[in-house]
Amino acid sequence: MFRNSSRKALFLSLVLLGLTALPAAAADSPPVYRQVAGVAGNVNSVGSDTLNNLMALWSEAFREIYPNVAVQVEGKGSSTAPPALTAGAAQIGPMSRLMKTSEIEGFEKSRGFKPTPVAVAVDCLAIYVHRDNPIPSLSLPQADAIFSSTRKLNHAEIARWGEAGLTGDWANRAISVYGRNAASGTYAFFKEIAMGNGDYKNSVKEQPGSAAVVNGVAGDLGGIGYSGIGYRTSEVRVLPVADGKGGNPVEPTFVNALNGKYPLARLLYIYIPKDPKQPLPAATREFLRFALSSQGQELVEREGYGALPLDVLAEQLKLIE
Amino acid sequence: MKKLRPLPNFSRLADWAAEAIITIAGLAVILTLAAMPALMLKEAAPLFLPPGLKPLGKIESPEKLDPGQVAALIVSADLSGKNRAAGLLARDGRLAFAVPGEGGMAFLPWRPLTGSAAAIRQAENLGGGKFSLLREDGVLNLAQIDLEFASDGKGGTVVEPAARILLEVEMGGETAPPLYAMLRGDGASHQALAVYADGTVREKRLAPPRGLLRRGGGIASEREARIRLPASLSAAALNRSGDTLYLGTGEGDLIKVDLSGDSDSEIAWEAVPAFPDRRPVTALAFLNGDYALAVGDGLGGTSVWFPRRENGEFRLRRAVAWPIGGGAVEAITPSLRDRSFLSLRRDGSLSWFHSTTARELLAVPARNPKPGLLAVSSRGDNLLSLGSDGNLEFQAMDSAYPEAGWNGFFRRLLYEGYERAAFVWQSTAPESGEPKLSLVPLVWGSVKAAAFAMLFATPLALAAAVFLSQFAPPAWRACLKPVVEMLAAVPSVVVGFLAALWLAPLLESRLRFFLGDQPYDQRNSLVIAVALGFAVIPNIFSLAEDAISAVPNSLAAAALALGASKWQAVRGVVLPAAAPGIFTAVMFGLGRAVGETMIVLMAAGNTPIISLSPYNGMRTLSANIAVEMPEAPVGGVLFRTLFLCSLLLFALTLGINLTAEILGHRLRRKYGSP
Amino acid sequence: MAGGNGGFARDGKFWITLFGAALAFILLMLAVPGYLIVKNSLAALWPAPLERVRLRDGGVFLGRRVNSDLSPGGQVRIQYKVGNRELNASADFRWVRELDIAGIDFPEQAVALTRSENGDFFGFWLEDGEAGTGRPETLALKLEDYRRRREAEAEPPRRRLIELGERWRETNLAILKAAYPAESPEGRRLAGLLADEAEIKAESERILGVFNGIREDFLAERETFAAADSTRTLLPLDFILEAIWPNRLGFFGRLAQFFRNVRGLILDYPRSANTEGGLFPAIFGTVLLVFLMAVSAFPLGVAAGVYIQEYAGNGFLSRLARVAVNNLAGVPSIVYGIFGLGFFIYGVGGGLDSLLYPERVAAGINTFGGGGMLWSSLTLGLLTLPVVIVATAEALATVPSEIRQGSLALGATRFQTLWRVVIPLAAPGILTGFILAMARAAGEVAPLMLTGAVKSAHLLPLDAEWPFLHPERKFMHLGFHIYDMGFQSPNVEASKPLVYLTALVLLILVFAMNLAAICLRQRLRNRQGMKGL
Repeated sequence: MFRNSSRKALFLSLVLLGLTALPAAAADSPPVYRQVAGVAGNVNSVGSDTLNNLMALWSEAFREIYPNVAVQVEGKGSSTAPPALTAGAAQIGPMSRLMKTSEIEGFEKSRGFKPTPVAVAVDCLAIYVHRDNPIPSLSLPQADAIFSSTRKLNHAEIARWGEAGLTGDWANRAISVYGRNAASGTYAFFKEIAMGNGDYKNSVKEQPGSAAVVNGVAGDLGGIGYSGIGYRTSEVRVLPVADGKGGNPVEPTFVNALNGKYPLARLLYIYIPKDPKQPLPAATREFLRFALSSQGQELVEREGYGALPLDVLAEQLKLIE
Repeated sequence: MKKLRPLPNFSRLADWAAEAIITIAGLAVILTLAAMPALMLKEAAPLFLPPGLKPLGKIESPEKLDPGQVAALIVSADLSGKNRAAGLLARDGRLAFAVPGEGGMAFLPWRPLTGSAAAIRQAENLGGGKFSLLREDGVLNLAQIDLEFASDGKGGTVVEPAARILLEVEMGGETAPPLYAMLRGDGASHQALAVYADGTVREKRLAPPRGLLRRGGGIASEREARIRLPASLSAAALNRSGDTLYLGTGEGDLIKVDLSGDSDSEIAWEAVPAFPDRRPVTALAFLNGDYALAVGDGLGGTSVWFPRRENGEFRLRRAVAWPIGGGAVEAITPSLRDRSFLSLRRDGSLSWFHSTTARELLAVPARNPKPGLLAVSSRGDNLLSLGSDGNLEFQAMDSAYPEAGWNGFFRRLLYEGYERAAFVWQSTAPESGEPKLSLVPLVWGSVKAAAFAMLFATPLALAAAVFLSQFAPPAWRACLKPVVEMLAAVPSVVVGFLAALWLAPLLESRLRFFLGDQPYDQRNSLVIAVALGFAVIPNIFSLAEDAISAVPNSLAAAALALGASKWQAVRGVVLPAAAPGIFTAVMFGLGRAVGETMIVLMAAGNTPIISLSPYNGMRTLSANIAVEMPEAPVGGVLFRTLFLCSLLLFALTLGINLTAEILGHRLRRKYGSP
Repeated sequence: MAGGNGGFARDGKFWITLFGAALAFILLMLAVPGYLIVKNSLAALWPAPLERVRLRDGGVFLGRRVNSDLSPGGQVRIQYKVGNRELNASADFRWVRELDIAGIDFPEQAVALTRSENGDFFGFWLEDGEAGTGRPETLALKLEDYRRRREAEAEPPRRRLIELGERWRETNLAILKAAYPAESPEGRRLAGLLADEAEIKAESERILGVFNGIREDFLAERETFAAADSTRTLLPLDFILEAIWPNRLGFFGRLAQFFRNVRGLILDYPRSANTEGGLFPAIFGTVLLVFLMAVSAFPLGVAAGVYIQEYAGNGFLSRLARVAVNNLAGVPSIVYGIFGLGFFIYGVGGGLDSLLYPERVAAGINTFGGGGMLWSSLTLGLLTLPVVIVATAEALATVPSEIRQGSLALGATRFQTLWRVVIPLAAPGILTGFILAMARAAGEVAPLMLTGAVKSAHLLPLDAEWPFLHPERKFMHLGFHIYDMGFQSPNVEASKPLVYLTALVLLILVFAMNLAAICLRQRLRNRQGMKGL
């Protein structure tokens, strides 16, 4: 069941600690998905490009179980989900951020009820540098000073690697900054958490995709950029991040995301138009149940994201019933 | 040519039919193409519409309350914006509501708001139906007054007003009740702040309440500071998150009190003399976003202040000011949606200002009855005012994209937190952020990219075209022209990809040796020159080569016969004859260079900077559209601005082409075939 | 020959040489990306050997050498693809310093598995779980036998389910139509359709249950494999798409595998969110798109060009039209995409939907009102119209007026002159425009993003199902595929070879189309005699 060896280790250690430590009623893994009756139709997905790959994997696997259901995935950006859900063109809308008030209002105006966000995965936003960059870690105020022009976290300006603490050859090397394109959920998240809602420098090179940021940093010795942890490659290094309030630098792992130590962690959502008076269409409901099952969460981990902790998972399952 | 037979009627008919078909097809195509700028115009035009305040009607209130007797107004509208409801909170604690009913708005009977019996001294709308009330006996109340619209099950909406007190905190001082007091907090923990006439500032942090009503207990921590007041206090404003308090004095000072930090830290404060002529500060309010402060003074002037970085430290500085007049500013009502706010003066005149673009959106002159109290709905679409005659009036507010407009797009603006005014493009901000929509860096980027590309491509393409057409063995031409045209076949995605991931690092490693420590960005104009040039060269080459080859042999032969060398013949006769076509080719290439999207998107870095250096990148109008359009909410300000960008691109290429057309026409007349 | 000034300057040899150098440079510019693409693509298709690398610290792994560079300290580093994503914490590439390598060998028993999940696997097959590794032939036979049985037992119910799914959707659309408008539904027909739907559902349930059982049985057939460090794992045979033993292949063996890889690339469907697999639907979509675009844009463009140049006169309006068309050549492709979205999809498509399928609109289903092949090709057609129009107009302009006047003097009508004399003379130039247009359109991605190209589409826009051409379907496109893989791919290292391959296929496709048009143009030119000195 567990293919990932680090999860295996975690599970084993839990077993060693003694199952008596766990409440008897709690489940110790996500439910295994079993095929049910009455599933037919279409599932159209329009939304986030961050979640696109995960959606594609889920839909491939879902089709294996229900070959009679056609799943179509379009991922042009989180902002395309609300209008598609409102018009009825999509039954599910993956988004890497929560809907804005205006989007919720637009949906409610048309359909008469609010859309429901279902969390499906945990994402860590990682700060990448070139694999030969020796810097050991960064704090959030330092990251703010590198990426931001307003520097709301009150750190002195950092434009060269020497100002971030490197010496020798690196001291005078200019920092080459890569970021995501504006209006992406990742961009907004980094702005809010790492830059205190300040502004980016106008020298941040905006890349139109998460993988493009990593590619850029991989080819640029003085490069630094932020992107989801799932996009890491062997040509870049991931930096541990300290929160700047005295804590130690923390690695971007999902354990650290869940216990709150890693500051740049977030949830990824799928929005569904759940009418409080009616049950969800069977195909949509089963798709979400699959995503929240052990097979679905395994795919999440394979993509480089983090599986939901079990209590959160249980809550999400209640949302779709 | 086939031998032509005498003209039968059929041929004439065919001729007429052909002309008709071709004309129709041609016109249809041209019209469809013309529809494009029309569409762009349609989407971009609303950006320049003026904002409006439209009166919607008065509500006669049965008990005419003077604005001085009313503590707060509440206004709410449903999602469609067509149904409205109003509420009045009188100072004696009574509540009245006006809700839509059969035949217009109906006043519901007065009901009391429970809590302390003392009169309400101050009321502050915290959003979400919550109000912070300060009573004359020094008790702070957190009240929930709901005017929500709900579906009545028959397809319509109905309002059920509800009001209750959520929290009570004692803030009475030793000698006198506080001058100003506010409550902040979410459902879990709260913060109560009181300012006394002697300059004491007292902050109480409350533990999470365990019941619906908590009387005066549960204080988790308390802090206090004594401010040396340069003059008596006249106004106060606390931001949403409760970490910054501004006080205004009757002699024109602004005092910033820093409440951030935990319960053990000191409260720091700083006084800034705001007005050299020492006119009193009469109104203070935080603008949406919790950062900038709007200041109204005793002479009717309004200004916006926020902390700016000076020598590494943040100092409170004035950002923009509007002229005085109309008597003292009585109230400042900020919008909950953008950086605009209403400034109401003693003479009843109203100004609607927008801080980012530093302009007055609308000026409403004084009239009778004077508006005494104002309230704005949470969606920013309705304005409720209580007149001096005791009646309520609704107005529809339409701020119509205040961040856009000439100022927003083309002027250097001082944005919140920036050190100096600048041209900045940073379109997206979190919900209460400040969008920055300057188009100047984008236009500059388009021009710079096109210029570098043309500098690289034009000489190469023209030289190669002349060579292949006139000096190369004819066999080469048959073989090589298609090969060069193959360059056009390389998809721009691939060119961009290779330029960004292969050419850019390569160029950097080669140039680093010469440049040393000079600022050098890997994705820069040199890379763009080559990459964009790559895409443009085949266009220029092909059309130029066609034009040069189309020059009749007779002309060159004549030159040769007169004794010129091949080179002289080409230079003096063939090239001028081909000049119109060459010119068209170059202009075509220029148009392509300006409009190319994918290559610039991938290889230029998309940095909206204004710089002449070839060692840094740019952000062009076209790449901007590509990178922002997929996530721009339809009909929003960014969406329309992107259409404006495409309109600008259109205008730019129109300028280029008009010039080309005029000059080309002249050249054709001078050199073309008779 | 009369003498002139100094020979060199007069002959202009300097300039001629310089110009020739310019041409050479341009050709070089073409060669460079061509070389890069071809080199990286071929490297991806050629089966490289599997190296077993033993490190000085005791670690060992199997991998394919991918790249090498110098570390800042001047040491040689080698990048290996190690696969085995589920055993390596999702890191299927790694760098090692040459210094750290204790030894490399090429075990013959090392097998490379192409899998439908988790990417490639490099390891050893343990027959019956024994420590000794099994014979390749045995595994190959097992796989073949498995596939045959699956084809016989599992494929029929699955295909039937897919068919039922299609029929369910069609029936549903028919039900929508029969039940609309709500006030006056077609009672009898509706009843019949509902019965059909119930029947389809019942059969689907039945088969689904059976299918599930069969599938679970098949998934239970596993084989034991071991990684180089002896970690064992059980892999279901179902996941194994291909098993090769690269170290056992001789040159001809590799060549055969190479061709098999090429075949797979062209005929297979993509897998794993487009990071692996083939390009068939993308190739198909691209070709069909260009074809439809050419069919729609070329005649209209030529007509418009003829109109501007020949019929509209030289007045202000004609010049305005010419300027307008020139101008539109400079409009960024993304704007055409937006226009296509607004005008074709929401406007015309929405209108068509309201007219033809009002019942679907009420249910929120888009037929023509959403992106698809039709609108994409029209949008691209619009994109390339200015080029075609301008090239046509220019080509027509170069035809000397004497020829026109001569024809008219001989009694031909305007149209006859045009059709028989002028256009044939201008044909090469017109074709130039067409060539440029096709080339540009085949590579444009931005407008397609908004008008119908998608990351993955199961159905093709042209298939054996009536009415054979389905212009409302969404499609895949090679250029969009490149963009998606290069920018959005979750495993950008693994998909980089595929990016180059896709680029190569796209280039070949475009070159082939271009070549056909160019040859045609050359023949037309030859018929007119040679120009130039």
